[in-house]
Amino acid sequence: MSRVRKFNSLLNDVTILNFPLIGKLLRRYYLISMTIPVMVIGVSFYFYSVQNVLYETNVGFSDASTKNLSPTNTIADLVGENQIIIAEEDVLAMRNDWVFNQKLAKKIHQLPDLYSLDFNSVNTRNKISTNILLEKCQHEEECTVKTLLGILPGLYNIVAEATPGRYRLVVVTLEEKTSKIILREVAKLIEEDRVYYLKNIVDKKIEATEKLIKQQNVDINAENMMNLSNRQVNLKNQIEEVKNGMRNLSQSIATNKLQFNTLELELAQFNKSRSIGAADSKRINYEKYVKLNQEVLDLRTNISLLVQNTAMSEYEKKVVVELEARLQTKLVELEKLGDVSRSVSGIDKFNETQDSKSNYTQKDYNVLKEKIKKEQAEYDKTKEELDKLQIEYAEVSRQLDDMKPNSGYLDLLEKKLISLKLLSSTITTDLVVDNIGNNVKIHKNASLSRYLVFAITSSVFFIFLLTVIRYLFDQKIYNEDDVKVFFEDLEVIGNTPEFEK
Amino acid sequence: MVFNQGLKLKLKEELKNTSEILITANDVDGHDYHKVVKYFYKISNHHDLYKTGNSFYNDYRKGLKSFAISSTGDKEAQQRVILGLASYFNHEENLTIAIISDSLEKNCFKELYEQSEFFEAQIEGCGKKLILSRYENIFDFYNLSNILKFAGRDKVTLEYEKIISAVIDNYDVLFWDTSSLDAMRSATNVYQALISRFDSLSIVVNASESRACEVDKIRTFFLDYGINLKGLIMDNRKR
Repeated sequence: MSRVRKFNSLLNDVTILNFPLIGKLLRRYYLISMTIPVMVIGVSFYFYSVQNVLYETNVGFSDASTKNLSPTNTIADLVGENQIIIAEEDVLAMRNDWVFNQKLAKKIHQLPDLYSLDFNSVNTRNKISTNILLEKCQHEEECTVKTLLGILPGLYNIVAEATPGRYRLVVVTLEEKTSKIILREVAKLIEEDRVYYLKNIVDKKIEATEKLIKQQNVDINAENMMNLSNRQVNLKNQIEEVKNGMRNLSQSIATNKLQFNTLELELAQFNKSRSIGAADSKRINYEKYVKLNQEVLDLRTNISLLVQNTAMSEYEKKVVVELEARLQTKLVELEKLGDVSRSVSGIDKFNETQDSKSNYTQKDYNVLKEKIKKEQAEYDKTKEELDKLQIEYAEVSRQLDDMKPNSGYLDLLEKKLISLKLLSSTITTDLVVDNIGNNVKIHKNASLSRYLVFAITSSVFFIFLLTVIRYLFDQKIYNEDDVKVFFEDLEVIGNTPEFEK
Repeated sequence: MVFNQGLKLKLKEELKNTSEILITANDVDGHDYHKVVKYFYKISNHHDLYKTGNSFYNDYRKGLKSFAISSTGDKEAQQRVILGLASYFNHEENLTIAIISDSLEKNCFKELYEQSEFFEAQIEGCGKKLILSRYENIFDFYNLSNILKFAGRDKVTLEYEKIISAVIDNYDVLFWDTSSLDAMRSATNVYQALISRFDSLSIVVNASESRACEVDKIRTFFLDYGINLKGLIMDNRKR
């Protein structure tokens, strides 16, 4: 019970601890207050003095991707690829990455001066030489790498600096040369490993793209598509040829028709001139009549030629309209002249001349008529052929249109593959290590001031702890307060009298 | 040691008579009414003595007269307390005061004891005489061993009881300088008769040396005889 009362007396409602009492206790148990600091400082000094001397060297490195300075990412931008950015956690985790450390161990193993290096832990008390350390391996690579793999991560560290994207590789060993060599090897490996990593990512993308292309080729039946495409081109050419043939036929027919019309008019004229008795007074009107007739014939021929062409342009249409208007005008004028053929004089002589011509014209007329008939038949046949070709062309085009999305996708994949291959061939590291200096910092694991701070802190703690424990278990009565703590029901009557001598 | 014959207990009347004579003498010499012991003026901490003495004096006024002083082993402190209290009582009132101790020839009692006048007192109903020493007709010192002689080896004799009663009855105030706990335990029967006559018990506690368990032991021991602990007296003197 008295211990509970003692413990309660150490507490205070306001200040939590009863500082006046604690002060009193510190004076009362002054041996604790004096011994503990001496002991703790002594122990701290001992541990400070037995620490190993450490050789620390370091080098900074930057993540170029964070500042958009990575050549790889610049090229990735150019070829339309996503940038590959390394997270801070990934950089810091390198130290604990088994694969990374295995590569490092292999690199260290290949060093010619491996056995002159010191791989002892910075906190070791019993140093052993590398010869003894690797004795069991008997120069066997696998065993040596395995042994080094367990040691190397403890000799270096990667820390993030205050500036984003800046890191520091710190190597601490018990020997200067070892620190420098390990720093150099780790720095090299950081750059190389990053390239390997980036290349690996791009290569995987390439592999995946190639697989997709292969699959897509199977899906869309590339051979069939190629055949269809070729067929489409052939059909297009054929249609063009047929159209050209038809155009030639059409022109020939039009020309022949023009000749045919001329011959027909000539024949009609011959027939008329035979029946007309020409009078001198009406000769002029007759000549005018012939001229108008010739103009009407020309206009009809031109209109016929133009109308023959199915695909008329706007301009051609306008010309046709104008020609038709002119034709109407000429026909009205012809109508006004009336029948002037009979008033023409000297018609007999004219008829004689014309008769000889008429026989030839009739022959040409018949030949031309047959020719036009044949050409028209040929034209119709060609047109049928053209229709068939156009139908087939439309079908092939439809089939190719159906395949178009897949083929577009395939095109994109192929473009992507080219981009990735370009990127893969231009990959460089985005973790750029600064120039490795020659500075080696020689120090102990913890500074003397750190030990002193620890000693003072722990002294205060232990003094407080031991004083409180001592107080709780102390049965001695020192003053009235102790009497109250030990015996709640007893009072201190007073002090003993002191006699002067 | 010079013995004066013929002092009889009941002593009270005789002591009173002696006091009166002394009072007269003091008046003639122009001294204070009380026969204040010179030791009272030797006390450096009067304030503490006043506080302690007043507490005991109040008890006396309430009817208590047999005050036992024990300690956790510091006999000298016990004696200082008794001497201080006796001086205080004497300073307050003209009382007959007896101090019973088993070590009168040691510590601060020694000087007074040596300066005392020795008497052989005849107790009524007892064949043997009881030796006492009187210091300037103020305090009577009894050597506890002299009283204990009257007790039998294994059991308490009637004569022993009578002597204790006679001593207690013949004084206004008695201060018992109790023996060590071990001594009392070794002769429980003999001490029982004495302890049962204590009206109150006070324990002198030596600061920084006495332990709570020791105080508890003494307290429990006396509590077994029905004696309540009045309180503790702190002794701050470094031994």
